[in-house]
Amino acid sequence: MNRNALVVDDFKSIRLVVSNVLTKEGFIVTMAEDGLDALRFLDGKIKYDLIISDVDMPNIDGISLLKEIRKNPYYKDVPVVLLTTNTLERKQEEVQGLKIDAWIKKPFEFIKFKEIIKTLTQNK
Amino acid sequence: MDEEYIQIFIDEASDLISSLEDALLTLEKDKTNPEMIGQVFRVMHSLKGAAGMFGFESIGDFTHGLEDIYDLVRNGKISINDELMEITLKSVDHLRDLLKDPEIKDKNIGKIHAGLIEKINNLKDIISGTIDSEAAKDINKEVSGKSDNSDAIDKAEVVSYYIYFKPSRDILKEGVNPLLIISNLCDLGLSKVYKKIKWVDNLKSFDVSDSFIEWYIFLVTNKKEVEIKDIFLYISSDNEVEISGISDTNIFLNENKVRKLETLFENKGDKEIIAEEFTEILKDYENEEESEESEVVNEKNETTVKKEIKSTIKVSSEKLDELMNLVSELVTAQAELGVLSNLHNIQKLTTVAENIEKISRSLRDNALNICLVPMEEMMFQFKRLVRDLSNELDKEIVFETEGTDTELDKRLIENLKEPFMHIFRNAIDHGIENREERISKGKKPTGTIKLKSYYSGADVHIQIIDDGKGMDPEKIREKGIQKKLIKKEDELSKKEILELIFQPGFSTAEVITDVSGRGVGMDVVRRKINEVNGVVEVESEINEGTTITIKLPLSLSIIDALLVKIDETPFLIPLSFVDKCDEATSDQIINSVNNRIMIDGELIPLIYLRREFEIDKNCPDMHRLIIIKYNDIRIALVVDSIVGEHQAVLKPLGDVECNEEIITSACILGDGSVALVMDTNKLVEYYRKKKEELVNCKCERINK
Repeated sequence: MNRNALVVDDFKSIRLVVSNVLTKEGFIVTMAEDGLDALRFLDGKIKYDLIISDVDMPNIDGISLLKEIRKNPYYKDVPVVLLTTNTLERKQEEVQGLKIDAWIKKPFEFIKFKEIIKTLTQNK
Repeated sequence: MDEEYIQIFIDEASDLISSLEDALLTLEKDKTNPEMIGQVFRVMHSLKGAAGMFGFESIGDFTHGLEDIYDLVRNGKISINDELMEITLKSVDHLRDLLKDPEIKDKNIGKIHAGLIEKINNLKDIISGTIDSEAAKDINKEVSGKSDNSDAIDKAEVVSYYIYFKPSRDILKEGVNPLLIISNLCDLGLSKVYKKIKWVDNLKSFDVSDSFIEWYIFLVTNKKEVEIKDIFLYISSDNEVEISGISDTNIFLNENKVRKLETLFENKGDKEIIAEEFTEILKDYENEEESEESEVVNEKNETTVKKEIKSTIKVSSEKLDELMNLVSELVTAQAELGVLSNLHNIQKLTTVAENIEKISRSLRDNALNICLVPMEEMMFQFKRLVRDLSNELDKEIVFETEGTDTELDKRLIENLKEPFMHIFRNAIDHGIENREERISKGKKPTGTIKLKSYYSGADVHIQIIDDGKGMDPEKIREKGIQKKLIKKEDELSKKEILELIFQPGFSTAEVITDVSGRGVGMDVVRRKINEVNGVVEVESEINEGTTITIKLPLSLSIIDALLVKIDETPFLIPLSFVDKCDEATSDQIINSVNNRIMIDGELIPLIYLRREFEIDKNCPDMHRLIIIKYNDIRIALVVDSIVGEHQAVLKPLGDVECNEEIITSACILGDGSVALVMDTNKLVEYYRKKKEELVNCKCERINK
């Protein structure tokens, strides 16, 4: 069965690499270049099994995007993985009360990344 | 990791680094610009994250320290000083090196790497030291205070006005554009404009050219009331205009009031009601004014205009070349179709042919446009060069640009970087004097270098203008004699002397400095520009400065041209040079005095192309005149007949022995014949040189 994933990062190269890994894991990947762009794809037409988003992005950042996702009845239970350059501490206050399924600090290794993805999507 | 992704990363990162550099240079002038600080931080931050993913750990380590510093800047803990700026700019250069050599194999890069990291860490230590010792709050205050001052309008001097403007119903019929008035008002200072549209009561009698709008404008300005009135000077008295000063301060600083006013104008319809409530709000405002004054800080963010981000894609230049090739083939094929449809005169075919001509024309223009990039793309490099060199040579220089939206072929721009850099170096090193010298000459202490570009016909002209000491023709002459470029007894005009600087092996610098006078000379500049069919000229006045003008063709391959005939031979004249067409009898031309003819009450020189190309057969009674523009002068070219417009796909002439001064290229016409394309600029120049010969020639003819 095909599964859908949404990858959001303002860095094209990262977007491509992450999507590449996910495609090999059997996902059909949609790419967006920032939070605003991503919202276009969160219109209820596609059911996502996984959303991966960078945190620091122009227009709408990852945290705000996450808030939007959790507000949306269609997507509130989708596993969301946030990619960040810093540790969670800086944003702790902002993300309080929001469900984040995984938090990966860049740079990361793809073997670990795959493991995280697998555990997240198999639990369902 | 795939090579492919790494390449994408490298491209992306170099773009980011360039935007970083640009942001830094803006920041240097306006050290508190919050938008730019944010951008610098963001670029550092995303570079750090992404670099690690693609094996560029060195970049990650390196940007880490800088990111921390700019985070402090961003949060207002510290302000940017010259030292930090210098280090950051050096780091930008270093980042570029690191992209090429991520493992730091080059020892020099390694040295720089270690040196910069040490400097950054030192800086960080110093900063954290100062923050600890001083109360962070105080510094914070200082920063925000500064940004307030930098606002275009000084808080102390402004006055707030309320302007009510109700144009008369007929204002549009009178030919007045009320929007222009509004925009002129807005130019005076900060403004908020509200409009009300009166409901049209009778749709049947509604006339679209009637005006039903009224405007309420709040203006905060340092201009006097008279100047506001001046704007309404030229409209008739039927228009209702009320101007009243409402406060001696900037009312926009009080957000509450502004919001109240906004809702007031959104909801209420009647002018009288609005006026009533409005005075009340203002009263409130005056009462609260004093108590709220302290809260007035974060205003500025709102007014900063967000830079529009254009979405772009990257395409390899091979694909573009392929596209251009196809388009030029299409244009040739279309011309063939045009000929065919004329021949058969079938209504339907003609319609199709005309349609295809229209489409291929816009396709051609579009395709050409794709290959063009604005000059702006290369500006940041020059900004940087001017900045670095002026620091190095201890000269104060302002770099100005004008017309940077002028677009040029991408390939041209790439070829131009080196010559431009050289011209800039010369201007800064030899042209602009140092501060003391300038003051003693009675000039402004800071020198100016200006880059100006504009379209002129089918050419783009780029000028680099400095207000330095200019070139001394005597010195150049002496040097020329010394270098055996000219003989002592040669009589040269000033222009000819200045031209000498383009000769190989010429350098007037008394002392060769590090900056210029090494490596390439002006001769290379000229050669490079000639390679792309460009022309470079120089003008200079002692103590006033030097202007170097570079003229480049806008497009390299397809142009719009006028197809004309002399006897049976077709010629093309680039349409961009053509001013108008006229006619004259042969007698008028052959008997013209001094080769001039009266057109539109102006005596303009003519060039009799029959004579020029030595075509004698079948001379018609009526001649056509193509009047072209050469610089500011109009010149008439005499031909036999005009066929029409033609989209010319230029083909180089190759080794064909031809009058190459005048004919630059050829083009294949729809019927398969070849037309020669005249370069009118060169034609006129050539004609000028030959003028005396031609006068003689004419005498002979008359004698015959």
